[in-house]
Amino acid sequence: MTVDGTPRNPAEAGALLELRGLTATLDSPAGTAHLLRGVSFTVERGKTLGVVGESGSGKSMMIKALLGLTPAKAVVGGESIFDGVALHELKPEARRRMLGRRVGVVFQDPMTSLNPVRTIESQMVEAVRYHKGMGKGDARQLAMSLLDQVGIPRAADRLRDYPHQFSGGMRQRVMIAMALTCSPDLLIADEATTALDVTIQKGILDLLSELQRDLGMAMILVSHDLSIVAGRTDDVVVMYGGRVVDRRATQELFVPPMHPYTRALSLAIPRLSMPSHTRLMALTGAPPSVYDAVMSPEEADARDMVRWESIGIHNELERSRHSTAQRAPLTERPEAEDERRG
Amino acid sequence: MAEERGQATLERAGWMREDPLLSVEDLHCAFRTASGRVHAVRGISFDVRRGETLGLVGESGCGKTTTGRAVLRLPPGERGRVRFRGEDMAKWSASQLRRARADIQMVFQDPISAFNPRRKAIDIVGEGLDIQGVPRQERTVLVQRALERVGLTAQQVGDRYPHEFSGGQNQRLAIARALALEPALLVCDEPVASLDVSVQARVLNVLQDIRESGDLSMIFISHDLSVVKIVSDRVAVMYRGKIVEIGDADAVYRDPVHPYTQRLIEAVPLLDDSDRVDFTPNTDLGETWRTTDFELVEVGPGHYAAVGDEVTQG
Repeated sequence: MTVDGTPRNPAEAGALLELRGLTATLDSPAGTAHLLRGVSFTVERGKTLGVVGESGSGKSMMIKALLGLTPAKAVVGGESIFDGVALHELKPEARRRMLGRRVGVVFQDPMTSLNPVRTIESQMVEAVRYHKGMGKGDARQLAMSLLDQVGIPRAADRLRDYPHQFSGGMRQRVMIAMALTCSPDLLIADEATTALDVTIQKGILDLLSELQRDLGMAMILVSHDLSIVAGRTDDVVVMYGGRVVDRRATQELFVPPMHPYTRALSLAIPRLSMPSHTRLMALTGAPPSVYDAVMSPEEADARDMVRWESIGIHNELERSRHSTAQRAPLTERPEAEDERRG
Repeated sequence: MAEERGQATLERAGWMREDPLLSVEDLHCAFRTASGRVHAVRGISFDVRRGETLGLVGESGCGKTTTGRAVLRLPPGERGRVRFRGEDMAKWSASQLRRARADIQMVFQDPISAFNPRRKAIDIVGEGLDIQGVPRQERTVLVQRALERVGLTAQQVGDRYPHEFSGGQNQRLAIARALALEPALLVCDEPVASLDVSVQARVLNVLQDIRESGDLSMIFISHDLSVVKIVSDRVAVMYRGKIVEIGDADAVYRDPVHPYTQRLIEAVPLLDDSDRVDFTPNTDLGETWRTTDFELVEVGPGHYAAVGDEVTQG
């Protein structure tokens, strides 16, 4: 491969992104926290991957480790290969330069990503000039057309506005436009629609899907909500306790035999087809602690199976109740949610 | 003039029923802001019966939170009437109101910002009881009972502070604090919006348990349609400070009539196609529904939608 990261022969190139046993640990007064315990998956060119998991499962940490944005004290191990380039062998500066030009990221809260005291124009023009080496005039032109592309009306006027002058949905569109400034090969949306209203959320998700298709980008869609990724991705990776516990084609996500945790997650989601006063299947117990000593995937599975299956048991109970009497109250209650903190 | 219009609304409000616990009639709420007067709630009427859960659903800025707060007079609406157990709350004295607040409790979206971080969780749960002057012994019993109802024990809570609990546990503590006063009406404002699906399920189940265990009424405010569906008996859809559709939850979701309700339902991300709602898109109003108010008319048994005559604003 060449220095700037383009593979010698694009036709022969493999996956766009490949993670192999990505780990992240952080030493703290409470002990060594294992934030990622060996995450492996691939993202094919032009395809979309959904990453799902509860808070603390390591979804965001995985994205940060991939981008080289982990806290300075965190130790990252394993391999990440982007377009044939071994990212883990690059110096941070070289890695940022490469990823900055090829990967666009949209985070959950645009207010913390945007500079509140600078106009959208100055922030976008800076990004375009940095990544593309354009002159001011051209950069402004590109910024305007990108805002237009993400569905911001009167783009030319809005360039002069500050972040607070946009609504939440519009701000997220600005973030998407900024992520597109480098014409990325990979777009990462990390809980990008979590804080938004349903109709706005749908608009943003539709926009992301449309851009992904039109621009032929690969996309990683990260969400705690399985229903967000279910209809919009080619493959899904389910994370739990800092590792990937289930990975399959989205179409086969609910084809039995389902992974017990994926099944548990799906049963916790309220659905429009449920009659009112349906009881949901809550996962009892706490997710595994980041301070647990490293163990093999098999050992970790065995440990976690107790929690994953707790929901299955409750589900069977519930089903038998529903077949006999609608709305029958549950007399026994699941184990109290334990010592989970934070 | 205002009075006249209020009366006219009352006569037409066919969805209002007899002997409700709470009735809200032609409620208006407005705020003064830097950019002018915002008319957040523009004349809405609904009621809640004993043991019933009403879902108030809509997007940011539709007035659902303002409505929930107006019920507790936090602050009261600018116009209209809120009756609790048949009594006009506006006529209550400060001490009557303080007593009534034990009967109407609220659970907010973010429990952490609703809690004093320096107080122990157990004292936070008992806070309302202290304000109501409940004797110590009784207080301990009531706190314990409230904690049990949300699936926590006094032992678990112990001497811990809010930051030592997870988001879901804190929300259950907030619910326990509200329940400790054994209220008749619980107003929940986006109680699960900041929680993960798995934790959210737990909190929703707690709310269902509470509903089933007694005659507690609830107003459940949320932007999430699927959440509202599973907890509510009735649903009111709000748009731009107005109710545009109201009726039994199952009816509204099976057969949404107002274009805005239809749009909301369409926007819900689906786990699979079995959740898809089949309805005939309502194109009669074109796009006028966005800016024009229409009369609520009965479109099914007890199911009303704003698809009638145009309302002329005075």
